[in-house]
Amino acid sequence: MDYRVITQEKLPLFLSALRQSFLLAAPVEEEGEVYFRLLEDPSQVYLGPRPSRVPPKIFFFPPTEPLLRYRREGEKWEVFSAEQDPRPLILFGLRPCDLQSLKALDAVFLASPPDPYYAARRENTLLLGISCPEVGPGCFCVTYGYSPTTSEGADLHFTLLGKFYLVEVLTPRGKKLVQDYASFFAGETAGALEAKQSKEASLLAKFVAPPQLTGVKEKLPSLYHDPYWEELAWRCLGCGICTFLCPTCHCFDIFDRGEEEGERLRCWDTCLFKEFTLHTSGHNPRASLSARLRNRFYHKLLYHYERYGVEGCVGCGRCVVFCPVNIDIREVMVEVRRRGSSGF
Amino acid sequence: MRGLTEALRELAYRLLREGEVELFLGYSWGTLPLVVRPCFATRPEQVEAFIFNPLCLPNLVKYLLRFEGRRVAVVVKKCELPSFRQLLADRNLERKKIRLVVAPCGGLLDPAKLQKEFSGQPLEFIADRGKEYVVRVGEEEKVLAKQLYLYPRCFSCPQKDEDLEPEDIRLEFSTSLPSLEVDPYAGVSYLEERPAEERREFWDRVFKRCIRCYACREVCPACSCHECCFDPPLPGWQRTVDWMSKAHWLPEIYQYHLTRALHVAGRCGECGECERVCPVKIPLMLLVKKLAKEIQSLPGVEPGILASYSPDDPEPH
Repeated sequence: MDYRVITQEKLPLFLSALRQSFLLAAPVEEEGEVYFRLLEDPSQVYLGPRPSRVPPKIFFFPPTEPLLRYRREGEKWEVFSAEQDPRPLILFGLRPCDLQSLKALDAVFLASPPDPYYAARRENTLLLGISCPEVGPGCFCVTYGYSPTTSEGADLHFTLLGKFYLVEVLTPRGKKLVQDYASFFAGETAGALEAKQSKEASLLAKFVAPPQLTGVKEKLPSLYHDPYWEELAWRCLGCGICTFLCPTCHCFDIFDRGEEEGERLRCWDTCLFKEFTLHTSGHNPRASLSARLRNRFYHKLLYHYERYGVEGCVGCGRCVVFCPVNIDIREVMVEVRRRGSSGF
Repeated sequence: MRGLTEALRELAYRLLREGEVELFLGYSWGTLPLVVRPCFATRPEQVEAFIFNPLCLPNLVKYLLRFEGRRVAVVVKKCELPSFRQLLADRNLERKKIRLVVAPCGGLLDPAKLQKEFSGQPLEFIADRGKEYVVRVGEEEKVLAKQLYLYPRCFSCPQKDEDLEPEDIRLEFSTSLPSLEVDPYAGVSYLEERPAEERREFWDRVFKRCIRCYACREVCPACSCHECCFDPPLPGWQRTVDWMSKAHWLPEIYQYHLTRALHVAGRCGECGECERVCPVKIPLMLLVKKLAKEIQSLPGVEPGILASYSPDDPEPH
């Protein structure tokens, strides 16, 4: 792997320079909270401890995506393909969990046949990761075997070490970028790699009792009819926060907007809504909130892995922190390990 | 304030043990610092989880709908009584099966403001001194001025708990919140005076963030319809063109929020839960307050009166 360094002062200048040739999106503060936004002023980038409220999946799997346009001429329907913004995008400030979450989404959208909309956006986007400055109260990335400084999945990855960032150059595209913008970077400083390792160690030491994954997948099947899910659902509001803010949730619904002329839209959907599984016959296999809530946890902790061989949860903690009634997947994992049995 | 928690646990224990209620609805600590969550006990041995302190933000009354017909005790703060009464009226709940446990509240504290100060350390509440709370953080005792940390809705605390039934229970504990003399419509008035273009920019910006999660509706005690007009009768892909998609587009988002605001106008108890649960911090109470202000400007009309309800109504639904 190749390494560079960039000073704290030069980082905004580098981002400004990128804006000349790319769309650039990064976390910024809006009314006190953090969101990914297309960046107009690189000095606005938020580099603090809080993760973005809405995950960066919006750039690959947008909440609302026109799939095609249609128009009726008498008896004939004309169909046009929807256009995507062809400008290349750079995402700056992706956390290690954001990077990991793309593995889960890739498994869904890039499996053969690949989803052309998602694939085009992935292809057209450079990923600039950043190590976390702190461990948040809902964080449990370590459960999934990576850390707040893991660079896997990024093209370039930045880790703040004192007054400069260590830049890991992880892909040919990342390499081209540091070559094209070489004036902002310097060669690796002696001791930077060791400094990153000690930063990682100090962050890892901050995790207090993260949940263990051992046994969760094995025990879940035995708990399908456990009263636990109903008790948990007593508290659940049945809103869509946990799924919409989940960086790996990817369910959608399809709408046609306009009768004679309009667009076919792909919109985010959530398994917590009762019409999600409603059949045309009127039958609903997940009619109760407890069945829907159970499905969400089975999907995050078991089904996604069974289907794709990739974890369906990355431990980002958004669902933990933003659930208005504190339904905590970490607690669910602990309960599954405590209550369940392996095999039948 | 441990005494208050102890009294609450004793009460819950007694009510459950003697079979006076089947379920006791209260609060317990959550899994995150400064986070309190709803807690349900059906057996006496479960009451040890209950707490009451100024971080008990959630309004629990809407949970009553899930246990309709069962004998339930529910912890409420004074500010939640209007939403309780409205729910009772809207859904014709059997009042005699519900025991209200009115917790003495000297004002809630805003976890976001505390988080900045104490960054994740647990707090233990010691005493309520009217203008301030005494808390223990680690080994240290600290004084928190309510003026600085108060939860927004507490600035317009109703400070009264009338219309209780004899079976309801007032927990005795010394708490007080001095009158704060805050104009409840200050935010609305400020916005009203902005030019139209600026108001439009403001609402466009905050509504653009909406993720259509419907948490505001799910938590709202005034949103108690059996079926909601925003719940599609079938998933979108099974239908043809429909009046409302799940798109995160401003027309849909405005339609949802404005319809909901108008639907609950006159019935909203202003508990502020919609704003608390919003994951993208849309200032929904501004809509609610605007409508309340409009209603109040009518001669002889008070917010809430548009949905006045008589128990003798021959057609209660």
